[in-house]
Amino acid sequence: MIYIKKLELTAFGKFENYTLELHDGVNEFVFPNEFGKSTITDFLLFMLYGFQKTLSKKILLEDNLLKKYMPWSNVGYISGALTVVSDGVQYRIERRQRESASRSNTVVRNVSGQEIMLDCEPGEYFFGVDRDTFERTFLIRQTDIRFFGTGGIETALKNLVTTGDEGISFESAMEVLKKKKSKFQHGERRSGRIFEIPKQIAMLERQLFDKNKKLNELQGVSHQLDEIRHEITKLSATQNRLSSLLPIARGNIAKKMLEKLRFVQNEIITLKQKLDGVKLDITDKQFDSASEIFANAAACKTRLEKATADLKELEQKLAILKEDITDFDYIKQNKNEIYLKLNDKGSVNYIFIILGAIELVLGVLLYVFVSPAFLSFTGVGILFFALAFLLRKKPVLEPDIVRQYHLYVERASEIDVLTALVKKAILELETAKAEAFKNENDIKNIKQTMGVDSAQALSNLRALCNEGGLVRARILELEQTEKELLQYGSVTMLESQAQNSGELDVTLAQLENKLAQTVAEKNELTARAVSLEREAGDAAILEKEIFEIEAQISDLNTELEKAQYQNKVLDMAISALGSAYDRINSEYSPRLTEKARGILSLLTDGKYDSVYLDKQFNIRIKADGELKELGYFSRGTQDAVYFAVRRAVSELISDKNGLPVIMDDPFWSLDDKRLQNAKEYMQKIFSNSQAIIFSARQ
Amino acid sequence: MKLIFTADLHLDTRFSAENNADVRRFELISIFSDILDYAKQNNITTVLLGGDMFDSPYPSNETMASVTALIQKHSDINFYAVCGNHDPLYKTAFYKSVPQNFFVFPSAVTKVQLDDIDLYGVSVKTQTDNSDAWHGFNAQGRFITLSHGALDSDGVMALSSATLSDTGGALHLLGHIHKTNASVLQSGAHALYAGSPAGRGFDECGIHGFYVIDTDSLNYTFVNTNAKIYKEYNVDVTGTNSLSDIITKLSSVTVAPGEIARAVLVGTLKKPFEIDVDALCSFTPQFLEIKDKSELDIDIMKSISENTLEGEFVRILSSMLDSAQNENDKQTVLDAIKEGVLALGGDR
Repeated sequence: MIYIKKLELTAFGKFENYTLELHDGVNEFVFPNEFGKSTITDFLLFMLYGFQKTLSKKILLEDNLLKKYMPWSNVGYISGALTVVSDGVQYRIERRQRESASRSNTVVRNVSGQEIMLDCEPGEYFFGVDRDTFERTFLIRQTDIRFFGTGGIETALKNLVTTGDEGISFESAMEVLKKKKSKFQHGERRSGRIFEIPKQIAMLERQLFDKNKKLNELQGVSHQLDEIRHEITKLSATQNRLSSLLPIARGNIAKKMLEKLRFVQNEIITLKQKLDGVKLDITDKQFDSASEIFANAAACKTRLEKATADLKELEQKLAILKEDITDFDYIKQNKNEIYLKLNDKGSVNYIFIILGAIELVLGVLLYVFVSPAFLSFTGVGILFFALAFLLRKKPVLEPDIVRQYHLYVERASEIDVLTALVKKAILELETAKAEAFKNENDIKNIKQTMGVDSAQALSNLRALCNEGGLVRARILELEQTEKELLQYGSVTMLESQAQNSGELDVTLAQLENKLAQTVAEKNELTARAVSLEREAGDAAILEKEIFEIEAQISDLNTELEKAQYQNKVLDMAISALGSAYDRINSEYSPRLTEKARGILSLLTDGKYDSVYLDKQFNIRIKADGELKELGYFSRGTQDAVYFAVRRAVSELISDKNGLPVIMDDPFWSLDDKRLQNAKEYMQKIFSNSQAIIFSARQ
Repeated sequence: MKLIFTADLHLDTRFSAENNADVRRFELISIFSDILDYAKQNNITTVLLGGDMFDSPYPSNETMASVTALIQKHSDINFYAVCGNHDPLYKTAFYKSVPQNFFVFPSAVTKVQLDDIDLYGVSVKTQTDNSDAWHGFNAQGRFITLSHGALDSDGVMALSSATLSDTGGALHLLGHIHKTNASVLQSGAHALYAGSPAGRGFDECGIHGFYVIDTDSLNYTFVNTNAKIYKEYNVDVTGTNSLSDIITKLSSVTVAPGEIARAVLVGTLKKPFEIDVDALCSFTPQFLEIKDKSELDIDIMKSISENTLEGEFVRILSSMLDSAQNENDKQTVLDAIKEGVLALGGDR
């Protein structure tokens, strides 16, 4: 057995440190209106299960309760304690909750004050039922009786007999499920997503079919285009391959041309060297004249050589004659003077003449004028004169000169003859030289004009000129070839190309021909591809549309799968709910009405002992031999019926009949007699358990 | 030389499940831009793309224009791309006209010569192209392969590790698998999946990035991108009775900056109550998504309200749990219980 022993409303709404002692059995508390009976009932609920903040509609009400019961003393939290005795052991539940907190702070202690750790609410722990079951089974509120919501007491009773919970309506639960299901599948109207989605899919599939059909038509184009592109790719590869061979082919040709060019150029150089400086337009007369000049030159040369030799011989002879006359030219020029000098007696000494003259004059004068002694002076003068002749000064010649002079005189005639001959030889030589000079100039002219400087060369030239036309023609021919070769490209270019030369089994012409064919074929296909691409562009748009439609279909199939699953779940729930309803009504409702009938009879002293259910499970009471709707009866009778059914439910739906039942002014509308009956009933029913009744009436 | 290898960018993904799909699409392009900026900062001038650059063959013109502008902006970078099954060569308009510095491999194995190594690549032709392009291929010299496919997979885009190994490549770069991975083939060469550089949903949780490869040593380094990371947080709602309880629990979860978070409600409810995930999301903006995976404690539900319609309803359905053939059937029954109990409680 379990019962509530003590309520301590420490801070709860209007109550502050308010205590209520209880015992097992029936505890009736008579409080005046506005005392706070409902507050104490809610306090009990708070202590056992707490108030919860949540977002759901239901718990918002409890948020309001939390706010509603915030202590008037403004401590900021509600708090209290509840003492429970379970199987003789006492426990104390302490709970406190701030308005802002989502959950309360709850502590359960045993009799020795030790805290007991619970993993659930104390109500669940001690009573073994959850909050909902507790509320609908063990808590009968004043509001339950007076205010039944939209359906009134009849609906509440119907709910009680059909679901065991006056707040739970089978119909509304079924309606909720069916409404939910109708979103997916509404059988009668064939509406809901399960019907709609396949229709949408079918519509999309039709579109898909049409577009695929169009696409198939265009895919021929696409295939063609693919093939053409493939061909173009192949041709491009061929073009690239051939193009890559071009440098080799060009290199090979360049190499050959370069070799030919170099041969031609060398040939030209050789031939030109052959004809270098040669004028090929020389006449025979010019050749004859030139030949004569060269012949003259040869003769002149001989003459010159002879003249030179003659001159040399004469000069040698002359030299021999002059050999000992080293100062020949001096001797020759001064021979007369030398001769004179050789034959000169010398000149008087004029000093002695002067001195003699002076002595003579002086002697005369002195003799005359001074003394005849001085005639000696005249002798002295004569002496001086004698000395002047004796001491005459003869010219002095060097002995070698004198020797040479005598040799010269001795050889003079021979020298003169030889000198004359030398002069003649010189003249001859000069003449020969002059002629040679002239010949030289003529040869220079010939060289200038004809490019040759010898008779042999002239002879060769003449021979060359005879074949010169042929050489020149060859050169011209070679030059033409060179020109043609160079038209192909510069030497630098050819050299550059020749570097790429290599092994190749096709010629450039073949290569170029093949390449041209490939390019032409490629261009033709490219042009065809361009026109096909326009059509393929439409195919691409279609493909994109098809892709998007397929994605939509895929999404719809996913949605359909989910809808079908939800529908299956809801079908299962609806079916199970229907079965549960049938079972409850076949097994539970008859027992309920039977039990309710007994309680009602007890409350009404047997006046109303027949409680029935019609086909819709509405309560019917037999009165005056007829089954009548509840609305027919007084409010007091209605409340009695409600109490009877509610108690019957409590007794039937749970095996936990030993739990306390809390009633908030349940009998306010009963008359005194029925109130008395109810109290007697309560005493009987709750003799082994606990009932807590808050009432405004004694 | 060094090069960057990335794949599976999936630009222009629809992100239909997310409210800010436009922002997320832009973020993907932004990640691509970040990779190119990284290349610039590190003087890397070669970027290899392993397919599925776009999420579909029909990316929006806006996205294509953005990508083109990015590629043209980085004109000093050479891009070498293969097409994937999401953006096959023959279908995707973008590949028909690409910038000059962007090379798309054709659908036959083709060689490109990089500075110090050869690169062989092959594109996927169509979405259903399932041929192993490397079958029978073998080349001389030192080279890397670039292709799109799943090694030894039973599904689409399957590639054989044996044929890839037989090519003689020194390194094999692959797209298609969105999680980065490196493995060693029979030949001893490494096969790398770059993975996607950014997660796109809660099935691609965790860090994403790209590889930087040294072609000389063939060493590779994984570089994280700054992409937002998808992460799931399991929140145990056992013992909760209301949305406010769940909000309290969700609010206590700290989501790291740069994460896109999803809360998964797990645990066992004694009794179902309407968990309006949209309402929860509006109260907990740190979570992009909230998924309810909470279970019902059927034993407790059976024991309560025993002789009521609700009790009978729970009993009838819970008896079906025992005969459920599989987890799906079991879940269906649990969901039916939840729906019924909520409906019965809704009118109270």
